[in-house]
Amino acid sequence: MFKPGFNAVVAERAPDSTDQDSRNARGKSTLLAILNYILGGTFDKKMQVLADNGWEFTLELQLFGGTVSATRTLAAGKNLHITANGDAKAFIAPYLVEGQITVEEWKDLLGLGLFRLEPSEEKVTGGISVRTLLSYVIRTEAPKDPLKIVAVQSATSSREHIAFLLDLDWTVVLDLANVDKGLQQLKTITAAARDGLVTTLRPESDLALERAALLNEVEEWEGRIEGFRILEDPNSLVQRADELTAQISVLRDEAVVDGRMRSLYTSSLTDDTDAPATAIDVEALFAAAGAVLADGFVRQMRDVAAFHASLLTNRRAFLHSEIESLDDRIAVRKAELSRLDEQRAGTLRTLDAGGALDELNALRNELATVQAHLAAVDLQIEQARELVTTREDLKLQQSTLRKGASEQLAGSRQKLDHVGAQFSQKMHRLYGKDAALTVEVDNAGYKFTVTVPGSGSSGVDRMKLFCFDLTLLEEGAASARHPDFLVHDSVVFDGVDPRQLANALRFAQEMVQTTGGQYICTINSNDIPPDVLEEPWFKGGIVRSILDTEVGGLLGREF
Amino acid sequence: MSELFPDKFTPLAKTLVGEAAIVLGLMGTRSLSVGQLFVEYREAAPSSPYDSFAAALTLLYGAGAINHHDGILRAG
Repeated sequence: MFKPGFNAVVAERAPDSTDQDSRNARGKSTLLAILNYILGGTFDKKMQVLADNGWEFTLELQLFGGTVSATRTLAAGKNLHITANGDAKAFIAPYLVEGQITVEEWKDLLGLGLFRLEPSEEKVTGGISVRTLLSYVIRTEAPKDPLKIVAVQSATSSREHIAFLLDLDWTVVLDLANVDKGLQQLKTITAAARDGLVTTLRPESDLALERAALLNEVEEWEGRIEGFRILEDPNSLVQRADELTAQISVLRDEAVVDGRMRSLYTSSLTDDTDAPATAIDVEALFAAAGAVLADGFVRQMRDVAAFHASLLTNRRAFLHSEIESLDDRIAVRKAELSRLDEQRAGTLRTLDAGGALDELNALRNELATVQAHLAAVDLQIEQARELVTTREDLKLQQSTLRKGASEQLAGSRQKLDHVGAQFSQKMHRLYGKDAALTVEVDNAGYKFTVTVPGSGSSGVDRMKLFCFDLTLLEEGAASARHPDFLVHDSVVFDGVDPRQLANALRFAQEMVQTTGGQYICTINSNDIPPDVLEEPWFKGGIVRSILDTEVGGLLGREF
Repeated sequence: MSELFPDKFTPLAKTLVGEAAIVLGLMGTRSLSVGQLFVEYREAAPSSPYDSFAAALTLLYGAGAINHHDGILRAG
């Protein structure tokens, strides 16, 4: 039905129409909804009646070097039926199961064939979506900002897709958006912490103050425990318990020392004490004497060796007696320790009965609580510092990404200036005013700005979008980031002055004639300037006239 | 035998020279048996084994700082 070049679907007033008839609701927007549906879009519930009656639609596309025909039923349209010829047949064959393809795989193919979008790029979370790209070439809405497909589209999505269409690295936008998200979250956390909404996260200065206060409190509790006295303690039981504890502690320390001594002596006993070893000992001593004493040994070596040997003869006897006396000491101490332990246990029992121990334990619990609080504050300080580090890391990442984006932008400057000039030229031809399409880099990646004097007037905004779309179509012919067709719903022409509209339609026709693309628009006949209506290219471009008296409009069916 | 001189890891009391100094200090001008002296020495330097004590005595004896007669030691 649609031909290369200019195409128009016009809602006409029939000669016999009455005041009850209207060019509205003739099915112009339904045509675009069907187009979107076949191109992997969602089902429009308005068409439920048609679905119940088993309707299906077929679209023919020039794709992968051949003609691809895609049929999708309105009811249960999870798969499409595909036929293809030429090179496309071989290309698409691996995707088909009994001539059918799933909607997801069909979208992959459309991304690849219409926009050179790799399926892997489409799989990135928050990345490029073929459906969003198609919404830039099949305009069913006309938001004020031509960089968007609908007014509520997020800035990140708009920037990513425009960057893609202009052949810039769209991933920069996604990466910077993620960094920015992280920074925003940190800001939120910090603000919430400052307002006391997150009690575990507070500024480090506050935490440092609290830490100092807690340290003082710990010291205070420790002091109270140390100086704990029971007022009703005529027998000084607490003091006695403390003394016993100190004594036990001293005895235990001594036991450790004696234990070490005993093992030292035991190992000395097992040492080899042969004469040669002794001789070596004296030799070594002789050498040492040379270093230590001014005159060295004054006695004969023989003499000294004999003296040393006599000392070593007694060695075993000494060590044995020493081990024995150590064992005695250890046994006595053990008994003493048992006795003191028993005494202390008794004292503590007496104290416990009087409730004094409870008081002391309560003090200790208080201390433990404050110490736990202190540990928690220490952890919070660590977290606060971690937040600062994370923020610095993100800032660094942000500036690195920005730098890379700026470098890439510098490399694409010539091309982007050309795009800007093309856009400006179109607006100038329509309104006689200069307009600009600029690209710069900010913290969210590539920032595209469309500046047109008189923006805010709905007619000017519509034409801004029209010129922007035509510019993308024109540029897409070179970059292959565009499918070479552009579809405008009649909403794009709402409120536009007939003179500008006439020029705009001429533009579109001239452009598709020179670039070999395809322009499709739906429009009401009363919106078309009379001089355009008479022009041969327009007359020849009307592919369907829907009369306001036609039953069921475009599809011949009311729904 | 103990180290000769003190260093980063060896305190003076654990060196041969230090041990000899302790022995001399303990003896003063007294005459006493090796056994008696060892008992006193062990109190002064509890972690020193007998062998170190013997080496210190031999050094002092060789240097002529102490004399030895019938098991009795005396400062030279």
